[in-house]
Amino acid sequence: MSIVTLLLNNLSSRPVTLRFPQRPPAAPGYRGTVIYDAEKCTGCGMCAFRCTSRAIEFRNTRTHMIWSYDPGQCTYCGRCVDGCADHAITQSAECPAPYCDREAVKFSKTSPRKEKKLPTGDAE
Amino acid sequence: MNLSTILFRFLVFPGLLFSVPAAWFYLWVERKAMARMQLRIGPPFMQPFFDFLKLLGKEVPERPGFSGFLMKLWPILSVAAAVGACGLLPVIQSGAGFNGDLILLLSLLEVPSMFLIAAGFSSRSMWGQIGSAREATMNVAYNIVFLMAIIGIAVSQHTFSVQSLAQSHGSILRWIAVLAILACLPAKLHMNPFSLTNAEQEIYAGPTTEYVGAELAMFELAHGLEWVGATGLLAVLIAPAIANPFAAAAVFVALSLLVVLVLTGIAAGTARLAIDSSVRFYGQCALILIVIGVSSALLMRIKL
Repeated sequence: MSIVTLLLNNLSSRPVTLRFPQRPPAAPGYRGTVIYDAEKCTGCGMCAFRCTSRAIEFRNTRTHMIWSYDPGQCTYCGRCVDGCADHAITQSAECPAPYCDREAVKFSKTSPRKEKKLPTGDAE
Repeated sequence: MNLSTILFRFLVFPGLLFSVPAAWFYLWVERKAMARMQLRIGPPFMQPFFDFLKLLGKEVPERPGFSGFLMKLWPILSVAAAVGACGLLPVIQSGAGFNGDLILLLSLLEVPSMFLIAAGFSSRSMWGQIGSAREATMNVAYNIVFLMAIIGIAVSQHTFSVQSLAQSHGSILRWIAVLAILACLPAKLHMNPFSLTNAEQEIYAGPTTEYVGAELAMFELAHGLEWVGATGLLAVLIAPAIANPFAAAAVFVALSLLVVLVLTGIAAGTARLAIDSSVRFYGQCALILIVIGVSSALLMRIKL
């Protein structure tokens, strides 16, 4: 195909890019913003332990558990999601919005401390 | 020729008031058309204007010494010269021109390019100096063709007034010259395949590598005004003589936009040539057109 034909075809075709803020649909398995579900969390702290970029901090007090997340620090590796046995941590298909103030995007959730569940079933 | 007509031409149409918004519009048309030819969506309508505003708001570092002063001076002079060139275009038949204004127009069209070369050397940046050296080489290469094409038409019509030239009847010679000028415009406007001067991904931004903020904004504006002036010159040479000023202005803009689209198509369909190939192109191919043009002009003169 000659270059002139190609250019004319392109002119008459729909563009393949989108105007901001439109985005193409996320690919399956896309690792976006980390989402925390306090209802499911049992407070094991495995997410903070596995977070190599130290974006997640977890603190247990006598009455409450405090989960903090800094998207500016996060590398979106997904290790926290893989390590959460209670499926309390997931990753959305959205990447975090652009920000100017780093403190403004930090997220912290305080929830009542739960009694640790003992494993049930037959002991080996 | 009276003062009010001259002021109108330089300050309103096709001077300052028309050419500055037109510069942003032409830059948008070029970017949008290029994007659409590459299957991209392209920038929104106001993007060149927003780019200009954004650059104006940026901080310019303090540059001590005379070279710092020159770096401030070049962009402003470039804009002034380009506006002056646009103002000299005889879009409306007003009789405001004078014999010899063609030489002034060609000089003013060349000034932004000269100041770009000076700007690159003033910045003392390695990339700026490489860009300036390339621009200077290209200038010599394409200007032989560009000037000979214009002079060819001028000699054939026995006039150096742009208005008389624009109003004179078209001939084969004029179309040869128009083709030659069209071949020179990509080099003049730093478009592919002659985009060596500001070869992106290669020498950063060429002569303007060290420029930021308002200084860069002025250079961008001067570049847009060069678009208006250079495409306008071609439009003036192609356009038929129209008495109605509004119709003449509409035809001028339409033809200028057509030239912008043609140049964008050439840029989208070609890759950047090396400096030796670029110079050879103007030395061998385009010069042939001009040899035909000048010899025809001289023959026409002998016949008369």
